[in-house]
Amino acid sequence: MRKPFLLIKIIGIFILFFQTIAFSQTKNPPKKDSVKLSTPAKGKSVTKKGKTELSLFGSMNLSNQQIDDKNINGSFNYIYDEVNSNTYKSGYSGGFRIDRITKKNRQVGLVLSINRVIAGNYYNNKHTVAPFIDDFTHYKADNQFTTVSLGTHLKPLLAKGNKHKLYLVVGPSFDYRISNFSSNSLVNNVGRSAFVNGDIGAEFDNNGYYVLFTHYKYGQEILNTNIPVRLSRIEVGISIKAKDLF
Amino acid sequence: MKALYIFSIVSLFTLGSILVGCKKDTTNSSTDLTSEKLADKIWYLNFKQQGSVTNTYLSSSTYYIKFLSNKTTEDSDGLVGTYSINESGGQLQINVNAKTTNNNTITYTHKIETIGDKKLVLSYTPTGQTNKITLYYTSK
Repeated sequence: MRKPFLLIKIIGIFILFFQTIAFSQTKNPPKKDSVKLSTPAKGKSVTKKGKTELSLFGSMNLSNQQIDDKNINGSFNYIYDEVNSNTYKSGYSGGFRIDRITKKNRQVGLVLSINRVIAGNYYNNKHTVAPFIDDFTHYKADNQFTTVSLGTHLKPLLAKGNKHKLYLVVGPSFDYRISNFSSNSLVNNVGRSAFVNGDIGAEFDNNGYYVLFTHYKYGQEILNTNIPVRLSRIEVGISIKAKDLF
Repeated sequence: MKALYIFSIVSLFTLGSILVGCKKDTTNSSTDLTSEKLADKIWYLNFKQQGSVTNTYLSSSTYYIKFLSNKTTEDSDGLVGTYSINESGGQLQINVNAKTTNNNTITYTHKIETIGDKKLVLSYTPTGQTNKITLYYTSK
């Protein structure tokens, strides 16, 4: 099967996964107590069970990518110490998400975002040409790029206070790179890049006014299998319901 | 709910179109990158290796060659001419067509073993010999 169709299938599964969770209970009649809602305070809105809620969010992310160039026998050399920086570097993300509480009180979310990834690069392999070049890599990965991301999250409630809620966040997400590739990337036939991520994190809901969240995303490159890249990201951000903003 | 379905379908088709339609053309990317790394630098010979014999030129006045972005070249022996880069069977090569100070034409082809911003390794096998000569250059 051709890769693009496989990817479309993956994206379809993401959306169907979300829809299956979110709408699995909609055909059942709601119980009386499930539609009982308190009057929302000024400046906030309450997500009703069975109803979707659109939010906007912005976040800062710290990223690191691990690059394995062992399958490349290229003609190019990059001095290892000049390209390797095993650190996390900061970028940013923005987008919107659709949250929904199912009739079974399960909170789920669909997230669509644009991410500016600025990553520290860690190269797994060092090559040498004795006695001339001590340590070098055959491939130089781009450490700044932009992706569009689609994710579906399950949000089980961890703790609940009078005004605050704390959720655990788990689920898959998918990143597709939309920015240009450098000439260093193009030599290895890297003309497309996509990551499938596993996400885990926590979200703190402050009485419906806003949500503070932190997510850890661990992604695996799926289009360029000759250069496996693993992308780790930590996102910290805030989400506010659209109807509270506009 | 209807809006969400529409959103989902639009997202699916948008991302699907991106995945199917967009792939950056990578034709000639190797030769382009080689030109980028090679040009407008002076490459100084550090080592010359043939078989088990290695000559070192680190501490002496050494051979150098310039490659300019207008595809001209000149070296410390007085050869002046043009160069081109091509890829044959996955192997990058430099072809030089130059004239000596006596106006004799010299052409040669060197294989590019590896090239970077500062390090260049070329090789060739002289006619009638079996041992490859490897040339190690550093740019300044």
